[in-house]
Amino acid sequence: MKQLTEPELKALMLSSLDGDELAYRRLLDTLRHLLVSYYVRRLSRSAPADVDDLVQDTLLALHQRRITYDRGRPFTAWFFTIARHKLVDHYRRSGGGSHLGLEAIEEMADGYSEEAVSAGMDVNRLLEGLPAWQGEMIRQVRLEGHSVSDTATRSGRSEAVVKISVFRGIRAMAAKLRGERSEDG
Amino acid sequence: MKTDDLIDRLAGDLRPVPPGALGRLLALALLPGLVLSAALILLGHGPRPDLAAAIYTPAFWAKSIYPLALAVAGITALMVVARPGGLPHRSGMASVLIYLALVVLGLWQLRVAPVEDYPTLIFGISAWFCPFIIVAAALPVFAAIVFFLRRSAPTNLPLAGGIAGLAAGSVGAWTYSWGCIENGLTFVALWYTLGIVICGAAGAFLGRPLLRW
Repeated sequence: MKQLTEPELKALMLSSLDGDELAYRRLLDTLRHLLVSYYVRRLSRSAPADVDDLVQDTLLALHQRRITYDRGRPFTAWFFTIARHKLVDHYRRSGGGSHLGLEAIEEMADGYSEEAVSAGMDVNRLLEGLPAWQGEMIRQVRLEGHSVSDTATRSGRSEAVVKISVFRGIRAMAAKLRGERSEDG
Repeated sequence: MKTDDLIDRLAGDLRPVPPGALGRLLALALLPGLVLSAALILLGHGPRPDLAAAIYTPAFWAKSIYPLALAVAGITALMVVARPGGLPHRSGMASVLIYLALVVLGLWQLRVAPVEDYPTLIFGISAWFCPFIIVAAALPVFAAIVFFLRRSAPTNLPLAGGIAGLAAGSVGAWTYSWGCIENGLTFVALWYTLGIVICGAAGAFLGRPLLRW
């Protein structure tokens, strides 16, 4: 498919605002492909279903909020600010990422640190590979910064058990990660 | 749902959007909010008893124009934050200048007044409840602005909520300026501003839950 330039996309948007259904169809179809590559690049390990949801959600947002497009301004800047907003919202909701600060999320959405994104997702995925209670302890002690004694009281286990299971869990995650890395080549 | 079907549906649902539609939506939302706020002050509180005489004093107009100017800056800022990525730098600067202008007038008023009048000019008799009347008068305006922002595309929700609160607080303070009996401009600079800032803080806090999209 031919890549449309900003002036072409903007012309399509202006016709769409005037009620030209054919132009609108063409615009949505073009944007859909742009969005797929935008989200795929930023959701490295996410399920394709997430990308699909985000693409549809963004097209719907364009439709419902097209009143906020300023005819005098560039179209792509407006549109990709919406796409970025949807991406930040997606990270906020799904990242399980309460341990990720807002700045980290915003930075990720900018795509400046894609490594940080996949690192965050790696941690969550590896935690899921452990027994639930062990993963929860690592999350509390290492990611959310609770003290060992706090975590012990809350889980009804002794401090020694918490320390040992965090230590062993992290070792198991590291071993798993090394295994994957060598498979990746 | 497949993306093809969604595109079909959206294309079928296309209605023209005329230029200036966003501003009209805001005006349309603000009108009932403003009417309710005015009704609350004029019927619930009552206009100031000496209004006929007060409109000949400069202090009355300074007190009324201050929140009105802030409301204009706030509504201009709303048009900016309603669009994705909008940051209302200029309205922010303007609001600070408006506040400073009032502070200068207030200090000048104190300078020419006898010291015995200071408590009246600074605290009056209504300092302790004035901010809360302003919050109450702001509520219908705030609801109107939230209605507007939920149909637009703010991307910084606490900021948009905060500006919604400040703008609503300024409109509320303006309607209250027709009921309030105080004549001190330092009073206005302190207690009116406090009411407006309370609205702004509440708006910033409510921004994410109310405006999420």
